[in-house]
Amino acid sequence: MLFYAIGILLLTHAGYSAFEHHKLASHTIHSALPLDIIVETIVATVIIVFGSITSIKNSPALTLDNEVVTMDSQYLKPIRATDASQLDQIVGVSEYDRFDNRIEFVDVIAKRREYAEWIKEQE
Amino acid sequence: MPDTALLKKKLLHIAATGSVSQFTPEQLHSHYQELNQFLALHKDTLDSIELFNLYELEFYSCILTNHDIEAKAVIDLLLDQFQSNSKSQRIKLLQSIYYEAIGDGKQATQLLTQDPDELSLSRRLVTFSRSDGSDKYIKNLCYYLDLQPSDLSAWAELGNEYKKIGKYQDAIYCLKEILLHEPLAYPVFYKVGLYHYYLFLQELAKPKTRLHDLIQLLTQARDNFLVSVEINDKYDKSWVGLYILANHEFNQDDKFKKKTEKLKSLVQKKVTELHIDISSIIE
Repeated sequence: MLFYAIGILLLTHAGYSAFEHHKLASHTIHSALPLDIIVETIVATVIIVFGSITSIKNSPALTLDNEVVTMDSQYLKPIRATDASQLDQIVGVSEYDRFDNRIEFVDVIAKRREYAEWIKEQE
Repeated sequence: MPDTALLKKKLLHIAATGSVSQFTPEQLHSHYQELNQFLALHKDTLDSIELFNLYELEFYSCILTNHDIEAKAVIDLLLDQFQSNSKSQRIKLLQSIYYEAIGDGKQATQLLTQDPDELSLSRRLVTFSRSDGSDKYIKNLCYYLDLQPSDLSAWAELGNEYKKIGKYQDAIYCLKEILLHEPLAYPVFYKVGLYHYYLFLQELAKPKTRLHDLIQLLTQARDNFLVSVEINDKYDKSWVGLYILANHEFNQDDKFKKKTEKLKSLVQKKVTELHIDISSIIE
């Protein structure tokens, strides 16, 4: 955010300076854009690009118990399969869990009975 | 109260993996409340796919927690929204589950048998034979898989049924069908390894078993556990499997001891690194 703010500020300043220079040049002799304005523009662009790259971060995730967990790598998603499956391991829900869960085959009667018994125990 | 974006991500993940079917009653209870609260506060901020996926999840949460009126309300809402597509198998499936839950098996069967080409519904119909015993259920699952051999959930279900009755070789065959489609499914590799180990124990208990067959089974169990940790080296279940294999008394024999030494030290190192409490697991 700070990089964006500084970059935009510098870019606006460089733009305004270029506008002033153009206005002045149109009344006097035509001259090329001063070097400091060009340098300021380049620096501002570099800062904005840097800010946008560093702002791409891996978002954290919630475990089933609502605990916030983050990946080891702060910026880029891992490429190797062994690292890519790391978040599944931390969160406790993997995309392959569907083979264990098989919601299409869920025994609703048994699950409802189990839940009703648990509720009775809680009372 | 957790961050809304993170909570949304978590709920959508649960909806996609169907984890709700494995929740304990306690987890179901808190999940039901959390989802209801989330939908009440944030449903306007969701896009339509997210919203209807969460409605489907809400239906399952309501049904499994005996909130039948709310479950019916979700079905009515989905029917109102997708009335033009009244042939939707997904909605019919939810309706049949609702009827099954309230004890109206006749209505549920009627919904599932309307069209034999609706294979998702046929799959649900197969589950009705679960109460007739394992053999009948397995037979029906095999019949369904003849019609729809690429249904991975059905292969997983069939594998689980074979495991329950101790037919580990058949269970392994089913899991290998899944691996053909999902070659990176490390939990499935773990299960294949585990079933090989169970098969080894089964064979070991028999009076006349060839030593060569036992070694083959242990090797296959080890190889599958190793593939699993090759894909995800933090998958603790496979490391525990390897630990048990390496420390099994069969491997303590002088003939095999040398060969398993390397595996033993590797597993010991990893178990310590991942802080796996082996003693509590083995007990």
